[in-house]
Amino acid sequence: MTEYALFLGCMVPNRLPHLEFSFRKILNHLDSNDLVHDISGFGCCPEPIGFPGMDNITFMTLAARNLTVAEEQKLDILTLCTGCFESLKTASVKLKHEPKLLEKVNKHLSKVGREYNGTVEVKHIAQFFYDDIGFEKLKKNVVKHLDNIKVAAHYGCHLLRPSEILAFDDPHNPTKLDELIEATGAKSVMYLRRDYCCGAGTKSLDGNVAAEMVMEKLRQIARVGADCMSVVCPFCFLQFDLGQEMASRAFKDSYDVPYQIPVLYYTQLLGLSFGIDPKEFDFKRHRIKVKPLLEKIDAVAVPAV
Amino acid sequence: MVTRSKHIKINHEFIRELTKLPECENLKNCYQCGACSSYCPSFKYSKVYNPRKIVQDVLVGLKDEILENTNLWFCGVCHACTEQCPQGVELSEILSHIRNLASKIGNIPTHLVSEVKNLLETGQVVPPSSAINRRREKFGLPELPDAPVDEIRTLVKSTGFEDMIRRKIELEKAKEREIMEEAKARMKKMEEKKTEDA
Amino acid sequence: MTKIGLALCDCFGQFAEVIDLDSIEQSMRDSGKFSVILRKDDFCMTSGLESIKQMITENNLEKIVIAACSPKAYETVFRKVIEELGMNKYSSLVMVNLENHVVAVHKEMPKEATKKAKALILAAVAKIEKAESIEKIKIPIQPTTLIIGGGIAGETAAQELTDLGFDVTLVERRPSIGGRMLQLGTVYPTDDCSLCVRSSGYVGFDVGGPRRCFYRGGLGTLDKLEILTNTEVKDVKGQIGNFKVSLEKKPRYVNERCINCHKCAEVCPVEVENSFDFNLTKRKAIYRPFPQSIPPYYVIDPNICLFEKCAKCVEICPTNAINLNEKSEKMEKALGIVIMATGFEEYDASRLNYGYGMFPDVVTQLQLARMLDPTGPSYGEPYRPSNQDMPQKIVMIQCAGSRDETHMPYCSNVCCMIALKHSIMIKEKHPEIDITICYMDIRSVGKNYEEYYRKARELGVVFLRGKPSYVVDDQRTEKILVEVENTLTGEFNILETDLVALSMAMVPSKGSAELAKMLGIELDEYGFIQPLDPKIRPVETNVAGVFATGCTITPMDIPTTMAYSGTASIRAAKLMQSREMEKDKVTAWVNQDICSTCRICEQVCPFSAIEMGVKEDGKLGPAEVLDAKCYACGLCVSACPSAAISFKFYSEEQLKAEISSLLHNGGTDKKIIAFLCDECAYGTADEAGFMGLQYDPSVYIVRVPCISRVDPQLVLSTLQEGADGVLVIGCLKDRCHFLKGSEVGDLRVNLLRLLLNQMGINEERVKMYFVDCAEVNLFTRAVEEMTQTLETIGKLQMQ
Repeated sequence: MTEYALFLGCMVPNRLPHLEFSFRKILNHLDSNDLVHDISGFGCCPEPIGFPGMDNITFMTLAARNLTVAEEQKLDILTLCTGCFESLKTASVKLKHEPKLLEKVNKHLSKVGREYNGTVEVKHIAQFFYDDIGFEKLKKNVVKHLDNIKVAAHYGCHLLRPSEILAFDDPHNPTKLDELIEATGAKSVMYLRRDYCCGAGTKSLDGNVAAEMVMEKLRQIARVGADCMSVVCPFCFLQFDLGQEMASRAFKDSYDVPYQIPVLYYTQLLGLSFGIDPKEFDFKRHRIKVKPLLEKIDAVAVPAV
Repeated sequence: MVTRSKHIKINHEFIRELTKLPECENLKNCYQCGACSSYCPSFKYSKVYNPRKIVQDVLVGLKDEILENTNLWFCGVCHACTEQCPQGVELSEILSHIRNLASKIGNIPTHLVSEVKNLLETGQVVPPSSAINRRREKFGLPELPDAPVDEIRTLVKSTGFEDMIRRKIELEKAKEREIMEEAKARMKKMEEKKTEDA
Repeated sequence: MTKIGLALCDCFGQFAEVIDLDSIEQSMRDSGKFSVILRKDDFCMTSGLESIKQMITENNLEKIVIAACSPKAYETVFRKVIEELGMNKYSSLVMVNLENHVVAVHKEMPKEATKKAKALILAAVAKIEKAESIEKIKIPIQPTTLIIGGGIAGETAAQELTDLGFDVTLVERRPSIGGRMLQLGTVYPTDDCSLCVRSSGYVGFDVGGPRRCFYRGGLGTLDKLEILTNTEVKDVKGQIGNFKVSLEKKPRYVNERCINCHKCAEVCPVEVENSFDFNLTKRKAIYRPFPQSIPPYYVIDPNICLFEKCAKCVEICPTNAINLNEKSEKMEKALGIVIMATGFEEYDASRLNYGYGMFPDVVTQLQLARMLDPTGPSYGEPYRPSNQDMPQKIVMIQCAGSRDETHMPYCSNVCCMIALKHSIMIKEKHPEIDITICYMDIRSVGKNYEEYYRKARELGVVFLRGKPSYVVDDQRTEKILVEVENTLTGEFNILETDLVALSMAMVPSKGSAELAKMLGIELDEYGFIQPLDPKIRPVETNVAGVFATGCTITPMDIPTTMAYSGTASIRAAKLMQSREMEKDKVTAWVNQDICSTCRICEQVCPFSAIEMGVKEDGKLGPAEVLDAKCYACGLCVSACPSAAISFKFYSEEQLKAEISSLLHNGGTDKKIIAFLCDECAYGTADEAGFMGLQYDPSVYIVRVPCISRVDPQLVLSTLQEGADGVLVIGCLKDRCHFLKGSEVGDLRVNLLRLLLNQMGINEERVKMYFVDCAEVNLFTRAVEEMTQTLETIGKLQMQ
């Protein structure tokens, strides 16, 4: 089995530790701790939205530095955030296929005594669960079939696009996250604008744009009667959770607001189906209340035989 | 602002320059259908950032107008434009390159400047906080290793990025000073007027 | 000894300005090769031709070398003359291109030019000495045609050919002929109903005229036309003149006693989407495809019929026309010609982001055409399939799947006009309906087509330039929302509408790829038939005797289809009229004793002209060349690993003798042999002469049919024989006159380079170029590059 260095990034450990906790909890539950290692030396991925636009070479160099940290330990990289995934994956793919770029980057890296040899693969946890853990193992651990729950999957831009580089799934009609969600017994519902952006990327420049975008998504998700959303990125998480509350307030005169669609990081959803006590996940930190969802799950879900 | 001459001449130089780069080569295939802009959520709601228009401006060579356009930064880099394009134009790659050129002349939004400041100080864009660290402890999460700030600083110096950002910061400070001085001058005038009136 | 004559042209003193003709004449006399030498100025004129005739008859010549100008210009003229004298045009004549290979291109070097002229004439002698006579072969052609596809393309070809007196079998897999045109209801550029077909005076209306209204019924009365509906082509074997066709006629379950009383459909309990209306309506398991269908009977859909479990229709039928036990019928036919007219279908609209299949009010233009058909489901009124209401607003989206690299990169040609036609039809009836057409470019190219665009604008149709990326719906208002940037104003629009019509890309019909495989015909990357030459042979395929017409070639409108069908019919009729095809036996020939049955030739032949034989015990036998399909490019000759295939024309012996003579007699220090294909490459060298471009005289041109004829062995022996460099020049890869020749030639030369490296010969000694006839500079550039190379690497010293 491939072993990974866990790349925490900045948002998950420094703002949303409960998401990190849910991942580690699941890993522990699946008895797969030995697949994922905590190593020191990682810096900022760096973020894929503004940074490559300022200076691509610096972006590549800083990303490559992270790759060398994993390369030294002969490990691949596993990310919790789709942003980190895009940055590191883009760097690993481009440095593999563009020798001139690699040479340039290595010239800079030599200043800190590093060299990248192009051997590191980068994976996001959705891929990790899909390819490495596998459905059999996931399903074996499901004790609480979430049969009565409708989940709206949000893949996130940086998991899917640019598809030529990230190669996670069909960018127009992805299915992998839906399959992962349905492993819990829940129903992954189709909705319009599945491939639409959550809006987090525009937040720093114009909060209104970000709010409009999140509302557009929520409107479609509410329409198909989803009980909750499942995301695999901390930025999407914040945008749908805190952003949902803020946007609902901002648009209180239009639409059917306020929406109250709980947002779960995928490993939290998985944890519920594994029968882990919801209290452990510290759901009270979520801005949109998860309690009604938990009640719905408790009301019907019967322990699996 | 660049003042436009009355008749704008199509300048083929800029596109020649850009399309030398492999990632920008395919921008010549653009036939201005608007599939990108019709999808672009940022254009839909911000109305100021239009990916199609940027390619159009490149195609006719409005180099200065593009590079000084602060709306470049309204793109949330969701890459949907690239996936939508019926002609295989890699719009987000092209935009990224144009942003690089814009950054060189100081067209960087302030939120990114503070992002870089964070990075240089803490090694991360979202820095750690003691409150969160306490919460981590409660969760039993491992202590976070120190970010490699020194290495990052060395690298950004090596790529010339630090200089670019410093120039930008100085530019901003100069602008601030200018505004302050202007304000002071105005105040002074008002006071003078007051005394005159008195 | 063979008696050979030499006709040496002076060209009214023009040649003498550069070369010393007296010296040439003397050398040729000294060579002892010629029984007679004739010097004149006017071989290309009537007087000159007469003198050639005279020379041949007076001296009892068997062969003749004519040293004059380009064979491309005059070979046919001279061939005609010697054929008249009963000589074989291939074995008895070789031309030397003094004008373009010597005089015009070596003006400043008279000495070298004279030497070269001598070498070329002697090489021609070497070549003609080895020339074998080539006979004509006759291939019988049955004057019958199979037309696959009963749409307007196939129907028109059927009409033309039967009018010309040929028997035609028209095969249609659907239960009725009529095709897409009938589904369109009304058609541009006349806006009338699509039932009329051209009048050809066959059903009592002997007055002719523009058109006559008798539905497609007229077709059913043609004596020479056999219409087989519900029938599929299962296999095709054989070649032009005698295609063996296996057909399967599926049961219709209703026979000609049917009087269309509709009682059966009334009692039928099973309902299904009506494909004639593109699923807008339903039909029963027993149904008539449409009121004017041919043949004019009901038909049962076996996929949904309950048969004996129900049999209500059998009970009620007043004429006992229904037989539920009917079985499918297999047929074998021998037919002379095949015409593919399998048409098109719409690209799968659900693959686009336009909500097709999700929102009932998003339809395709063909579905809208059904609505607008006065005899259609809504009697010509547009409606919203979701609630049957009249739409107040309609948005049309152009290039839906067309001109899109991720879907279909080509322009589908007719969609602009269909959208314009539909919008005009709606607006004329209902000016209050708002219509917006989202387009990228309006292409209204054709007689009276631009008028449609203007008329649509006059009627108030709004044209919005932009390609929508998303179609969603508004739950509360039940409207469809089309999101699009107006690229002319730079504004983001959300168009609220009741109905969306998608102008879908047109793609080849399902099953056309299987048919193409059976017939051995080449398809383009999208599955359309690749014409033999898109410009001058637009209806011919790579397989002789197989033609194509209509949208199976490329998306086209009805007027164009009519023209294509006419052309295809004429080409087919031309072959059938004399009941046989005459062809020179220049084709490839397999030595059955040597053939190892490796099947390489079968795979490489661009024209599907090679078939493997079958031995008596059923095992694979030696390959056979189907003369009727072979166009004599030589690809198989050079591909055969056992050297079992040969050519009589451009035979191995001939080429080797010619090359050997050139290298032996060539007066230059260094010698370059240039293999030029007889198509664009030879033409380019001619052009260099016409333009008076000068090049090094050390290059000697050898003419081959196609560069795929040049195999590595031939090049190696050329180098061994004393050449210092070899040029291989053919047509552009994608415009090779023999389709795959240049591509294969390139592979061969690359292989050869490896070989040369192994042998310690500098690979630079062999250079390859691809040229279009108009690139006059390329030939001289190639010569220049080779001479420069030879200057650096020197003469070839063979161990």
